[in-house]
Amino acid sequence: MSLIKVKNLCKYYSSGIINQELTKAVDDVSFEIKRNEIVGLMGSSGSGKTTVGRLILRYIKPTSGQIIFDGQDITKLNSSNLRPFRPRMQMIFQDPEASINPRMSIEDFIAEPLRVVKKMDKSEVHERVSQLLEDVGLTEDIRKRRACQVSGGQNQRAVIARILASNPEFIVSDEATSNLDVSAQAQIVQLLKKIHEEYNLAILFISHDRELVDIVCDRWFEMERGKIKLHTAISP
Amino acid sequence: MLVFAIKNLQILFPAPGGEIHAVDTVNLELNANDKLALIGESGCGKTVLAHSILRLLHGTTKISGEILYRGTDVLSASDSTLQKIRGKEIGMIIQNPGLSLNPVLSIGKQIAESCIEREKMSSVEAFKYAEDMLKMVGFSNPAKIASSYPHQLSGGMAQRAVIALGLTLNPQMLIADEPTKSLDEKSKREIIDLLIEMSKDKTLLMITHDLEAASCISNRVMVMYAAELIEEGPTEEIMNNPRHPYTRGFMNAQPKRGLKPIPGISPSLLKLPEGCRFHPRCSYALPKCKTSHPELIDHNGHKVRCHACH
Ligand SMILES: Nc1ncnc2c1ncn2[C@@H]1O[C@H](COP(=O)(O)OP(=O)(O)OP(=O)(O)O)[C@@H](O)[C@H]1O
Ligand SMILES: Nc1ncnc2c1ncn2[C@@H]1O[C@H](COP(=O)(O)OP(=O)(O)OP(=O)(O)O)[C@@H](O)[C@H]1O
Ligand code: SF4
Ligand SMILES: [Mg+2]
Ligand SMILES: [Mg+2]
Repeated sequence: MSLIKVKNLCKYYSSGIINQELTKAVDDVSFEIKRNEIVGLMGSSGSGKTTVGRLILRYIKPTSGQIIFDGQDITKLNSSNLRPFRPRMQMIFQDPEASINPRMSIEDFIAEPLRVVKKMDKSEVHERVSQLLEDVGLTEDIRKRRACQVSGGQNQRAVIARILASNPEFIVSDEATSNLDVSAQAQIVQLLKKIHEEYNLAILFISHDRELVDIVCDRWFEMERGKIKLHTAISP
Repeated sequence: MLVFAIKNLQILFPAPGGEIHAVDTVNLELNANDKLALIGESGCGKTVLAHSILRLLHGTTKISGEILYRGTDVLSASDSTLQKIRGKEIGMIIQNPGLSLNPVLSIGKQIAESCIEREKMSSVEAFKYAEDMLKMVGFSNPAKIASSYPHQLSGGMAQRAVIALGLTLNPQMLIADEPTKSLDEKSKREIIDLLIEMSKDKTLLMITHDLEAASCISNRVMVMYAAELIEEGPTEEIMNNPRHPYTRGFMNAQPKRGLKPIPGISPSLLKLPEGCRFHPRCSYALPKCKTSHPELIDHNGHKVRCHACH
């Protein structure tokens, strides 16, 4: 059974004060993702990839269409009804600074889901954070620093550590390695693949890097101006 | 002609438990026509180095050494001298669009403002110029983009807006921090061509994780690891014949070479390892690598900091 099922999804923005112009960010998109799949999403700048990610995780409301997560229709749920779904599906945002709270220390930022969702005690939290830091390639001394006191790539890895902390079933990875050097990129990609294999984590992998998508994904599709242009099976 | 030089630059951040060595004794010289690509490990000090050039670092940061732009020491320059240098003499494309774009101003207004202020353009001229800049970074609908706010743009669109902003005053020297980040192949190609065009007869310092962009744009490459320079040379030489074990591992981590990460983790900049900073991860390490810190040695224009490179 599909974990994610998206049917005729649309998101339109109206802009322009004088002549109301309609931007069809996502325009009649349908696809499915199974539990054991990593699906690539490619397409030119502004084609609607990030919007698709934010829609399926219901960070924003679709203009029309349907989103089914694990058999349940989440299209119209309000934020309190969405709450139980939140830890199960997560997004690694393209711009890490936008998702990290600048007042929080990196440690608190990563630990929050462990305390709030997993209800771990202090020493468990400490231990798990250590493991997560190591997994994403960060050193312990980063714990007490804030987002503005670490590098672009360190921020990006902190975001990934936090997301892995809540053991999600589905991740939208939006250019998750864009701030990383090639070695750190390889490390993160191997980590995602490992978690995918061990826990059946499904991933929607948004990337501009065709070579990377070929290595990481089971199949991929491409968007253009809000629509799915190309659907490709890399392996059947 | 020498345009820009950094001498013995050292940057420390006070932190609980000591000091973070973000940049350690970096020396660098750029001629008028040089295009230098600065590459290396995430967190090794590239952005901090770039920000120190325009004095963008927080007041508590400890900086020593010299940063000379056409003979003026930026670090000791007066605020008014610095204001003149920023944007017009030395322009900067900042790594994070979220931090360099003002969320409450339209993109066109952000570009136009600096033209009105610095170039004494009329408001009409400035807005027209802003649209031209947006067209130059690859937007086919510049008027619409000019009237948009940052949150209405996609990641790659915001990145291109940041590039337009950095190029607005047509600076003599350009610092570009990850300019091709989150761009699709086509826009990336356009931005690479634009940077080549804009930096003709000018000085470019480009920080990048994108080795392809570095190859296309730069004539020299510098590699940093754990706050220091470890290798430097002509671009082709570094790309095809890297000598430092870190740089070699780095090249092999590219997706097209199999996506193999360098084993181990980069050292904490709070407690730098003795000897060679790469030794805990190096498969070529000699006994002396643990205790003796290697110097940067010049082998016919190809500088390497490694005991095993002769
Ligand atoms: N809040 C918004 N208001 C108005 N337009 C928006 C908004 N968010 C996105 N858009 C528009 O929707 C389109 C799709 O944007 P989206 O961020 O999904 O693109 P993308 O495929 O992720 O591109 P990139 O590769 O550059 O990140 C763009 O034209 C963008 O300007
Ligand atoms: N304000 C600060 N206080 C303390 N440490 C800092 C501060 N800013 C940066 N650092 C540390 O200094 C080091 C260098 O950071 P910098 O941003 O220059 O890295 P970078 O090479 O640009 O990395 P990336 O490729 O990830 O952007 C990092 O290890 C970072 O954690
Ligand atoms: S000095 Fe030694 S440890 Fe350092 S890179 Fe060279 S061989 Fe490796
Ligand atoms: Mg996007
Ligand atoms: Mg940086």
